[in-house]
Amino acid sequence: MLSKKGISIIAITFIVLISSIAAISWIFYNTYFGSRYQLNVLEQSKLDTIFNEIEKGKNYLRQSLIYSSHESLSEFAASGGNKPWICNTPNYPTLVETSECLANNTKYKVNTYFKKYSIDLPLNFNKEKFRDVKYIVTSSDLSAGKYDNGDFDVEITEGGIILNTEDISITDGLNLKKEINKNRFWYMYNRFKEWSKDNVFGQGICDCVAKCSGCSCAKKTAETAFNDLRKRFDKHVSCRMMKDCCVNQKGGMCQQSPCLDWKQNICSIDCEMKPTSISSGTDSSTSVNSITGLVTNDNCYQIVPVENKLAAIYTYECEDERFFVPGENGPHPLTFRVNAFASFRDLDGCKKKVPCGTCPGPCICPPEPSERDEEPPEYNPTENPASGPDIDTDTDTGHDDPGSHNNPEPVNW
Amino acid sequence: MKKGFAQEFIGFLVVIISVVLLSLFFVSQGALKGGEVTRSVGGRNLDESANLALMALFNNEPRSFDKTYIEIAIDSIYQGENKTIVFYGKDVGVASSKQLLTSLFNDYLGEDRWGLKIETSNANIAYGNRISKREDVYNYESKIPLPGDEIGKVSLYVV
Repeated sequence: MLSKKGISIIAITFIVLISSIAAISWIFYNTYFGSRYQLNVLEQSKLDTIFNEIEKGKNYLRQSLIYSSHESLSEFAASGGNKPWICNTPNYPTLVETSECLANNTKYKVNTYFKKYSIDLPLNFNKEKFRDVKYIVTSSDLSAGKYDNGDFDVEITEGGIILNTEDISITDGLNLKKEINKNRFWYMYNRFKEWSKDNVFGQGICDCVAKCSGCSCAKKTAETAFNDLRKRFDKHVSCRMMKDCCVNQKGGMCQQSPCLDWKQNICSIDCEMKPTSISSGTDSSTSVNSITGLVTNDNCYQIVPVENKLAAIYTYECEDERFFVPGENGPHPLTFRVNAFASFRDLDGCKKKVPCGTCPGPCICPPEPSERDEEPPEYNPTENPASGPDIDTDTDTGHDDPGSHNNPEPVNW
Repeated sequence: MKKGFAQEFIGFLVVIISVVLLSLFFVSQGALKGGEVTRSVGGRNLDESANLALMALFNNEPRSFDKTYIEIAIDSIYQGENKTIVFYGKDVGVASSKQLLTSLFNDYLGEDRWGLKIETSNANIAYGNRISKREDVYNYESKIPLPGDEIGKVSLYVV
């Protein structure tokens, strides 16, 4: 029979054993599962932080893409793509040329923004520049007016972000696409392109040359072209025209031709003059009243063709107030500015009264004063036939000196 | 016999008290952990809300403007004298960045719990409440692009 003392020792031992097992199990559980769980949470927390930083980077780059696109569109519009849209003949940048220029400029700007981006956490941060940008604009949709309010996509690809710590490394390839809207660049591009194709300016200057006219005619032509441009836009767009320069010269005699390109550097823009297919609407052939039978007396004369040369550069600028686009000084109206340049010469644009024998051709001998029925027709100009070509100053404008190239006069409408 | 009984009783009492104390200790640890977990979960929820609000700043667009909230805020700083209003053209009209941002962050974080600061090369503008430096203020920052190839910063403070 067990003594009471023996029973109490067994009971105490049993209780202490149970308590110890419970305590050890609890400690073991917390140590193993608790700290491991803590490690997992810590790892997850690090990953969360890294992913957050990547998301912040993407947000930054998406906004950069928006600003870069708008700025590229504004710069292209303001400079007309750095080429005159009329260079005697239509010379507008094609859709492909325009898209490529915009894409290159946008890529440069986005990479500039990307270069400046950094993070403040103790992580190794490496960047891979973007390599490709596309403006997703098709010719058919452009003609149909789908992009008149913007609503086109710009995509930038082949960039990357690499973030790593001692034990984690994450690489994220970056391909971003944003829709650009509330920007009427393509609306204005389309209208300027159609205006350039119709080439009222070039045709008009050619007509001026064939009519023996100068800079006053060029101004009227520019105004006609301006009115033709203006009527193509809606009420939200205001336009103005500025004269950059105009020069008019007379040349040699005795030859005939249609409108030809006149290469000069007094009033000129660097552009490639394509073979002229423009013919003047004016009949410039020499019509001479000839008298059969040569009667030689001191009053005989010839009507001979004289070369007329005319060159003009006008700037056409239109501003859209419907949507303001981002800029360095805040949102502002989109301004589209193009140059129109025409430089023509016509070998028989003018006529001149000269003594017989100056040029091949018939001689006009008016009848004796008693037999005269009517006065011979008057011709201008009446310079000395022995003088060479000289620069004519158009008295209507009074601003045709060669130095006027850099002083445009705005004409507000 | 009484002596043996008393000794056993004391021994038994010591064991009972030890077990009770040990149990109390374990329970209090669990309770404390629960408090920590609650605090941790609460903090995580706030963290999620603040991050979502910051994401919304960059990705969401208020109706009829077709521009993100951050873009409207930056444009209003750069255009004109009043740094919280921007005019976007005849067709779009005027946007109030103060009104839009206040509405956005109140929806995500509640009133009086947040402050936003946008730093640009042009000016620094603050929205929401002035948050003093305290231990329980959460701070979220992100770089922002600015017009003209510049870079700025946006800071969100949450209590």
